[in-house]
Amino acid sequence: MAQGRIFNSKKRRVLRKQISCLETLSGIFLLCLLSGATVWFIGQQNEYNPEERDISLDQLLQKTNSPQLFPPPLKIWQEPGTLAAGSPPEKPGVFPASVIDGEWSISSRLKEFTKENLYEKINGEAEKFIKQGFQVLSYLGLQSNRDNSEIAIELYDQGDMGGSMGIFSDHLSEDKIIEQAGPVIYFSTPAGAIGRKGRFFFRIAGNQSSEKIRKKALQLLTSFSSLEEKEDDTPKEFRFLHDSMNIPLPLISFQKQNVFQYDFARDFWFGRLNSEQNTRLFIHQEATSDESRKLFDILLEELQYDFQIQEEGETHAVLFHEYLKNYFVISRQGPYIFGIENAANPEQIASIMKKLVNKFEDG
Amino acid sequence: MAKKKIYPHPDYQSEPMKRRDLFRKGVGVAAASTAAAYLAFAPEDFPFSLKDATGVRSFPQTVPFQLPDFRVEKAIGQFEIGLGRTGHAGSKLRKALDAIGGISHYVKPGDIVLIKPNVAFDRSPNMGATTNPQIINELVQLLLVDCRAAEVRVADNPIESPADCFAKSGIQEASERSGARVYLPDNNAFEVLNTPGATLIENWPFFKRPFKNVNKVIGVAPVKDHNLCHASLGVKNWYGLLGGRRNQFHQDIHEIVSDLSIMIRPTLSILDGTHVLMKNGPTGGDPSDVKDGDTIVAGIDPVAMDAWAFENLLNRKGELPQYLYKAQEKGSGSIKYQGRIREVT
Amino acid sequence: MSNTPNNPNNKVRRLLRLTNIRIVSQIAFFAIFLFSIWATWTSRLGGYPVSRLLEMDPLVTVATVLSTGYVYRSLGWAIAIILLTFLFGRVFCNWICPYGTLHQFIGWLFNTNPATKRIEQNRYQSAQYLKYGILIVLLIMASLGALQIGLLDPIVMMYRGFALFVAPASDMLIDTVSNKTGFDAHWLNTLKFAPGVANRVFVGSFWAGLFFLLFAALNLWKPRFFCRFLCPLGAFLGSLSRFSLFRINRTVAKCTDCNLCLTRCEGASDPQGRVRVSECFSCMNCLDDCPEDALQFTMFKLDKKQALLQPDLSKRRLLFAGVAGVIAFPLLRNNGLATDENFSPDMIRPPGSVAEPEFLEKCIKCDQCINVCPTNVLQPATFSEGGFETLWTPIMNFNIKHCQLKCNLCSEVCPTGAIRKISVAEKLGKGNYSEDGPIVLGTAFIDTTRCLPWANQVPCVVCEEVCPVSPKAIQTIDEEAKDVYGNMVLLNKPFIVPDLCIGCGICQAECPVQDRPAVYVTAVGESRSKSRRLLLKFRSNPEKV
Repeated sequence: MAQGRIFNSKKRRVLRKQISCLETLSGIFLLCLLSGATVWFIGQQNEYNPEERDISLDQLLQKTNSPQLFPPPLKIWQEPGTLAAGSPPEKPGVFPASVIDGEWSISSRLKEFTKENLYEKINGEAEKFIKQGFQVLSYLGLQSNRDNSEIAIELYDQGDMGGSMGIFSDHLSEDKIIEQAGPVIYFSTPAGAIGRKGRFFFRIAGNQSSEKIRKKALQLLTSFSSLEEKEDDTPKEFRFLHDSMNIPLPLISFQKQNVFQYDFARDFWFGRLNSEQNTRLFIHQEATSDESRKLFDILLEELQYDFQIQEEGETHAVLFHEYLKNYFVISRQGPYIFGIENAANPEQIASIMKKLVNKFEDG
Repeated sequence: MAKKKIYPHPDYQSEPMKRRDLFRKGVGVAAASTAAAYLAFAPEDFPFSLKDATGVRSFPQTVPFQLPDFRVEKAIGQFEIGLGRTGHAGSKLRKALDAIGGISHYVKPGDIVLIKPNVAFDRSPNMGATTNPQIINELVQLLLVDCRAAEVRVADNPIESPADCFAKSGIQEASERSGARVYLPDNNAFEVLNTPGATLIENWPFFKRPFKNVNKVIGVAPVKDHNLCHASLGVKNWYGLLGGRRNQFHQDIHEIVSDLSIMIRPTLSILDGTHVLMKNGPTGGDPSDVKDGDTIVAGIDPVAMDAWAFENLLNRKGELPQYLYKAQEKGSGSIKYQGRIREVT
Repeated sequence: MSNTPNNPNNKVRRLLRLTNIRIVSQIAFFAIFLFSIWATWTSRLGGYPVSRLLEMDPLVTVATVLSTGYVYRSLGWAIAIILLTFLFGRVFCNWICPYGTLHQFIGWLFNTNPATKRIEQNRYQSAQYLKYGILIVLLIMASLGALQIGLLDPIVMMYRGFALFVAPASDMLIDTVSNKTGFDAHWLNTLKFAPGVANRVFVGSFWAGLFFLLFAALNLWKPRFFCRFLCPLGAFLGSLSRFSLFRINRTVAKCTDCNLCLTRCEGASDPQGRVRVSECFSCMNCLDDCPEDALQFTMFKLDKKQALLQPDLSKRRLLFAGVAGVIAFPLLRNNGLATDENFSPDMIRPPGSVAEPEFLEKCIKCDQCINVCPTNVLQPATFSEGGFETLWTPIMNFNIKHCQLKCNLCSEVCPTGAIRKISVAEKLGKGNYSEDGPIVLGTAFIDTTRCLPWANQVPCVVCEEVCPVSPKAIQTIDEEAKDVYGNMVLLNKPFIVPDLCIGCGICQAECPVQDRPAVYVTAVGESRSKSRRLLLKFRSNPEKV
C-alpha cells in the first residue's frame, strides 16, 4: 500500500542491456573534473588574517584635522526664588567674581572639602595638608567658551599664614622660580601655577599647556590678592623677617615640622638673604623662655653630630661644618630662637648677627 | 410494521465475564478512584497534589547559582604584587609572577583554569584597547606546561560582535595556538548569578558556560583610560562576564564596578601594561593615544594593583577612581599598595 | 552473455554509469553550497569564494548586465555554465543546482507512487511554459531597472532560504537541545552556522522560510514542481539548450512505446515521444530505464524528427509576458519608495551600498550580506520599508544591533555590487578617502520625550559614550537639576551633531529605552545618495561637498 509507506522503497534499477565503454570513460573523466573543482574551491583558503580587515596603522597615524567642538557651558541649578531666572550662574563662592569673564565660565559647581572628606579629592596628599593646618578646600572648574580648554582651581584655606607658607614650601623645588604679584607669591607649572597669599594656598591646573591657560592662570593669581583675610594674624616671626630685616616676600618660608631634619624642631620661619645665596636666617618662638632654653640645648647637642663647635656660650653658638665648609649660628633670647644657616664666612656672620640682634632689640 | 427483533445479530459473540476478571477490574476501578480522590483532595504541599488555589506555582522563579571563591593563600614569605618590566612580554609576565611566588603556587596540576582577557572591542592588539595576545599565549603555555593544568579556557563577552573581536584582537589565534579553548558568548551561555552583598547586581545574568568545573580564574586586563569611570583596570575587567542589559550600568558605574570586585574572587589578577591606553578609552583606536608602558603586574589584591597602576601606569595624580574606595569598603582589597610590591629584574 | 563488458551486470560499468556520476556531482555541488553558507561567517571567511555559486548563475549575470550594462567582479563565471549548456543542454539543473538537488531528493525520498502513476506524473504538461513567461517578465523588468530575478532564481532562493531560515533554525535547535540536555561539546560550534553569537534573529524569517519550504513541499504534489513550472533560470538555460551539441536521442526502430522511460524522468521532457530539449535536465534516468536501449545521450546520429528544440511558448503568450513585464515595472515603482520622493526613514542600507535606484538594479536578494553580518544588524526588508520591490533586500535594523565600525564583510560577499566592495579605510574615511569623509548610513536623532535625561530627570549618557566617531557625534548639554525626590542630579542631555554622525546605530542599539529607542537613526543624510542629504555643507569637513 503506497499510502502506508513513508519513504519510497523502490530500488534504483537498470533495465538497459548495454553500458558503453565511452560512458564509463566519460564517467571517470567527470569524476576527475568534480574532484578537481572541489579541491580548487577548498584550496581558495588563504592565510587570511582577519586583522587585515582592519585599517592599517599608517592610515590611522595620518592625522586628520579633527574639528574642535565647543562644549555648551554647564547650566547650574538655581534654587527657585534665589535669583531671577536668566541671571548669570551663581557667584563663585569664596573666589573673586573676576574668575568668570567673557571667555571663561564655570564648568562645575563650587565644591568644598573639609578634613573629613579631603582624601576623596586628593587622596594621598590629604595628610600633608591636614598636618599644616588645613581647614577648607574650595574647588572650582572653569571652561573656556571658545575651545576645550579647562582649568581646575583648588583653593586651600590653611588656617594661618604659617600653614599656607609651609605647604607652599613643600611644593617648591630647586628649579622653581618664585614670583610675586602684590601680596601673592607663586611659581608657574607647565599648565598653570601654584601660589599662596595669607592663609590661602592655591593650585591652578589647566588641561593643556597653552598660552591662553597661562594668561588666565596669571589673571587668577592676581585676582586672588583680593581674597579676604581675617584680622591681622600675621605672625611676629614673619613680621620680623619681612618688616624688620627687609627680606622680600618670595624669600620667606616656613617649615612646620622636621626642621633641620629633627623631629622635635617645629614651626621655624626662614628668610633667605638673597635669591642667589643659600644663606638663611631663621627664627622661632617658644611659649616661654624656659622652653626656648630647653630647645636650644637639645638643638645644640644634636647639631654637634654634624658640626664642630667654634664658639659656645649660654645663649649663643657658632658651628662649622667640615665638609660643606659653612657656618651655622644659633642664638636665643627670651622665648625666641634665631640664627643663620649656611653662612659662608665668619665676617658675614658677624655683620648679620649684629644687624639681627639690633633689630631684635628694637622689635 | 412490528419491530423486528434484531438480537442476537448473526455476528454476535458473547464475552463471558469470569469471576476473576470481575475481581481484577473491580480492583482496578477502586485503585483508580482512590488515586483520583487523593489527587483531588490532597492539600497543596502533599506530593503530586493538584491543588494550587493561590496560583503560587506560576510565580516566576529563577534559581541563581553562586560562584566559589577562587582565591589561593599567598605564597609564604612572598609579596602580594609583582612587577615585571624587562624583556619581551612573555618574560615580563614570568618576572611578575616570580615576584609573587611563581604561578605554580597558584595553579596545581589537574586544575581547570579560566583566563578572562579583555576583548571588548574589535581593535588590533597594539591599540591598547584589548589584552596583548602575547601575554595570553605565554600564560596559556605556562599553565599547560609548567603547572600541568588539565584545561585552559579563554572567555569574554565583548561589547561588539564576539567572533569579530576575538579574531581582530588576535586573542583567538593566540589562545588556540597555545592550546586553550575559546568560549564565545552564545545562546546558552548565560545564567543568573547570585552575588551576596552586591548592591546592584545581586542577581544578574552571568557568562556561566566556561565556568563549568573551573577551579582557578585568572583575569588579564589591559591598563586603559575610561571616560566614565576614569580607568578600566583589573576590577573593571570582570564586567565582561556579565550579560543582560549592561547599558543600564552607566547609571551608577562605580557601584557596579565595586560590585564586580566581590562578584568574583580570582586566583590571580594580571594587569597588562604593555600598551597603555592613556586617553580616549575604553575604545581607543588612535595609536597616538597609546603609550608603551612596558610593565606587567601580577598579584592577588586587585584593588591595590589597580590603585598602583592608576598612579604609576596611567600617571594620574590625586583622586583614585571612586569604585576603588567602594571596593575597599566592600572588602575586596586595600588601596594601600605601599610596601606590598616587589619587582623582579 | 553476462560476461560481455557491455552488460549492465558488469560491476565497474554499472558503478560508473552516468546516473551515478550525476549523483556524485549533485552531492559535490550541494556540499560546496553548504560549505559556502557555513564559511560565510566572520571567523571562517578566509578567502573562500563563498558567493561563487551565485556568481556563476547565468541568470544573475545576464539580468544585471541588462540592468546595469556591465559585469561586476566575478559575475563572468557564468560563462562556464552557459558553455556547459551549449555543450550538454540543461545539465546545470540536474547536475549542479543545489535547489534542484533538494527537490529531486525530496521526490526520491517521499514519492511512493507505483510506476504507472509516476509515468503519468512525468508526462509533459503544457503549463510548463509558465517559466518562460516568468523569465521574460523578469528580464524586461531588469532591463527597465527593477531587478526581481532573485525572487525565483533557484540559487538565490537556496542562499536566501539558508541564510534566513535553515541556518538560524539549525543553530537555534542545536542551542536549545544543548541547553536542555546539558550536552555541550566543543564540536557543536563547528556544526553551527554562526558560532559565538547569541541567537540570530531575522525579521520575516517565517515568510522567507515558508516560501523556501513551500516549493520543497510541492514536490509531493507534482515532482520537481518548481523546476518544471517556475524556475526562470531553467527557462533561460532551456532556451539556450536548443543549440546544445548533445541531447537525448530516441532510436524509433528500437522503441516499443513501453513508456518506462517516463518512470523517473525529472524534467518531464517526453523522452517517449519527441523529446523536448528545452525541458530535459539531462538526468540520464531514462537511459537506465529503457529496456530496449532505444535512448542515448549523444551528439551523433541525432534523429531530427524525434526532438522539439523550441520552448512551448506561442507568440500570444510571448506577447502577454512582454506586456506583463512592461506593466510590472511601474506597478512596483510607483510608490516612490525607491526614488527620492517618498523614501522610507527605515530604508537604511549597509555600508558601501550604491544609491537606491542603482541598488535595486543590482540586489538579487541572495542575503549573503545578511548571513555574514557578525552583529545581526542586517535584516531582510519586509513590505513596509520599500514595498514589494525591496522584499528581502538587506536593511539595517538598529533595534537589534549596530553596524560594527571596522567591518566591511557585507561588501566583501556581495556578488553583484549592490554593496560595492569597500575597504575599512574607505568606510571610515581615512587615508586616501579622508577628503570624502566616512560612509554615512543615515543620521541619528534624539526623541526628547523618551530620553531619560531629557524627559525623566534620570542621568544617562550611554549613547554619547558608545558613539565611535571622534570627536563624538553625540554631544551633551550638561545641566544640574533637582529631581522630584529632591536629589541634585547632573543631566547630560544628548544632542546630535549631524556633520559627524555616520549612522552606525550603536546609540540606538544601546539605548536603555529599548522598545522604541530615544535615539534612533533614519536614512536621511546617507552618503550614497546626493539627493537624500541633510546638510548643505559639512562644518566638520569643509572639503567635502
